[in-house]
Amino acid sequence: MMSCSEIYNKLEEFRSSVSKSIEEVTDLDGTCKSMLKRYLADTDSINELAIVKIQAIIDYMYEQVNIGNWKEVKLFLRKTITIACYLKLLALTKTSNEVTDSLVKDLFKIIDFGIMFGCPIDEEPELLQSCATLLSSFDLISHNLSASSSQNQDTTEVDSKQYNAQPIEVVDCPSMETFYKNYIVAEKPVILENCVNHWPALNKWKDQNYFIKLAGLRTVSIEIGRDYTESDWTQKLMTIEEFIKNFIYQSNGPTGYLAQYQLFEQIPELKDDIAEPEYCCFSDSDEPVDVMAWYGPKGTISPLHHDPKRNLLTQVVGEKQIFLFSPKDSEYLYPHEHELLNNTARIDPRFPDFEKYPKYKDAKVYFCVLRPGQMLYIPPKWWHFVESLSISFSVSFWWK
Amino acid sequence: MYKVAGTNLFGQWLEEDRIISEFRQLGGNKNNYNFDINCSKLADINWSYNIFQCGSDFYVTGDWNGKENHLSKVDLPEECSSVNAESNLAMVGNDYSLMLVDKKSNTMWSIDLQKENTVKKINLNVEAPLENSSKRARRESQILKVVTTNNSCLCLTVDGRVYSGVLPSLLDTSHCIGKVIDVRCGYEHFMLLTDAGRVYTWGNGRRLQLGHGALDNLESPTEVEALAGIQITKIRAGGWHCFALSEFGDLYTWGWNDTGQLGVRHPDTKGVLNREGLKSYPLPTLVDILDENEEQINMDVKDVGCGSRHSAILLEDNSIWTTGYNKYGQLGLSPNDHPNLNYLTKTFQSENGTEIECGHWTTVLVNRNKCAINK
Repeated sequence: MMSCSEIYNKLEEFRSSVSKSIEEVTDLDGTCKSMLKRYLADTDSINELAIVKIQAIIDYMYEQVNIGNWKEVKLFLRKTITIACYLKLLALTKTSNEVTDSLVKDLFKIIDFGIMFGCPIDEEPELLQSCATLLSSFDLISHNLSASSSQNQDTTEVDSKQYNAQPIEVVDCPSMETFYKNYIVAEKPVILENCVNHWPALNKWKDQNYFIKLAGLRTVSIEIGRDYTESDWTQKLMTIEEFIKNFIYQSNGPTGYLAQYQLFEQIPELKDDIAEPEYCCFSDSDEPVDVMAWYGPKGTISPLHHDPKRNLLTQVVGEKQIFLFSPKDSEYLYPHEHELLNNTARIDPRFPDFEKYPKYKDAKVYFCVLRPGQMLYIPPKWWHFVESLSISFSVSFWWK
Repeated sequence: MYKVAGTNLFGQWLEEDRIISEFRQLGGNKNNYNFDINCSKLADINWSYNIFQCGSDFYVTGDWNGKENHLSKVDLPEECSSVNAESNLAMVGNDYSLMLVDKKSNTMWSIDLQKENTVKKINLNVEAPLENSSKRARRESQILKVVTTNNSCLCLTVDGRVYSGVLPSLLDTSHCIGKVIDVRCGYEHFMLLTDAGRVYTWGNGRRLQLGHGALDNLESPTEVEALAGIQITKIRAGGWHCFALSEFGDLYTWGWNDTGQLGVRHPDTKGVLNREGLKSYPLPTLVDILDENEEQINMDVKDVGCGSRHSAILLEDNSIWTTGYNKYGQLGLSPNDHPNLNYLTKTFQSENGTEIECGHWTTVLVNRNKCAINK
């Protein structure tokens, strides 16, 4: 078992590059900046009081980054969160005598807070992720793994005929040229088969204990409620272990869904289990591909909506039923009017209500059940409704 | 006289403990102030320092040039030496600068906190059409009040004009009913009150802080229609929330409620559930005050204050009730026992003449009567 001072010494190895990153936050106010500088330069000055003050910087910066739209928040504020969270890791391991479970949990909580609200510093872009990898490698905590109960393990059978829908074309690992010409340029949805057979995820992720072992203590944001258009819908922070035990294995209450979540940036180890599809190289911009995780029990729903980017939705574990509609059919789908919700439509294609929404009968429905190893190409602006038919893990690749 | 609860992380109250978790009188046992703290005016409370005005001098306490527990008299620009500071000068601050205001000549000086002695002069008269026309007009355009955040600044003149922005320019309030008598800043939203008892808000609305029932951002002051017909006498803005007090002592609130800062227990409007399991309110909702037996308290609210994510109120029996974020003791309670309170709870019994002023993570009870008695 590692001691606190051994962990501290390992974490301390990042200190010189973090100190250099102070240059990146020159716009920070003098009080916070001088405090960060002081503690980074002189670790002997880190005591119990320092922990309170470092936390105060984190809390104050949390308020600052909540000002304005998230995408426009000044980077120096978020970098300050990253630096202060790193300092707090140092401070806690320096002032603690013993590696207790609660200390380890606290350390991971700080790391995940920093990853969520902070942002990469140039000097050490994966600073907090590396700290997490380091902590994980010490095997500091033994997890209570539960055998997955038989409950919620079943898969709902769907008869696609009932929807009077057109099946989506299935193609076996097309060439780059074919994919580009027939689907990207033609803006046509398609299911690709045998393109991800090499992904370790296909096997590894079947066992939910794999996530508990790898990252059980990591905090994630879970969407709770039927879907995001409902009034009781909310988001909650919890550990992956809590999510799996309370929402995947058993769920008597509301549905919990790890949806549209940048899990792979937070836990880079999981990136090794997947690979970015080559098809994503057909791009009109230099922006990196957005890789998102979608992990939940049976019955998670993404209401009918569309996204601005191209999407390769890859099914890793379990099955999902998916309805697609062309952008040309928008008027038959009754989109919400409010600017924050106008990419979402009122139609639930599983239970069409022709009395309320008479124009829906003119919409052309495309339908599929997406199975493990299959990848669905959703062209930009195509409407899609997604429901999991079993415990499900999907990875989406969004690109322009 | 000042009683304070909340952060003292930078020694801004010149007390020893870094978190003051019960209301404590300043300059009590061990008086560290070298000016008459009880007769001074607490001009502004910032995150890491405070500004006091005592006679014609301004003092900063707390973090000063990276040094903590500091008490220092602010050197004023030479130009001000001829001004009667006690009645004409005002000072507020944010994390980056101090703003000194000559209320009569409508001049502001911005004193940079990081670069010592860097003073920038700002003239407010640019768009004041009545200026210089007559003696009377000049007197009326005196500055009544200045409030500032890191990103913005609001100035109110005696005749009810509002200037806004880092370089303040005249804000169009011609559509507001009545004369503007108060302005308040949240982190990214603004409120004004007119002598007709009307409340107007503008700025960012994404956390429901504008009280119009929507998330829209508004460029121009817009009346909070749900309060129309109710004579409002006081307004307060927290980080992302608002309070309005009516002539009958009823208190209304709206905005973000992530830590319980709205203090609402049984709301009269529909809220939006958030991550913390609390509801935020997009429309003014009546604040209900219940005692420990869940009995309704039917007393008038006399005063109210908002920190960034907490709130405090004063009832007619001089009791102080607080709610919201308490990580730094700002509710007058131990943060270990109560990291936050979801609704208003009585935390202190104060005396006649008390008023409330809040900083980000601080609640201050001010009693100006006590100064007169001492004198």
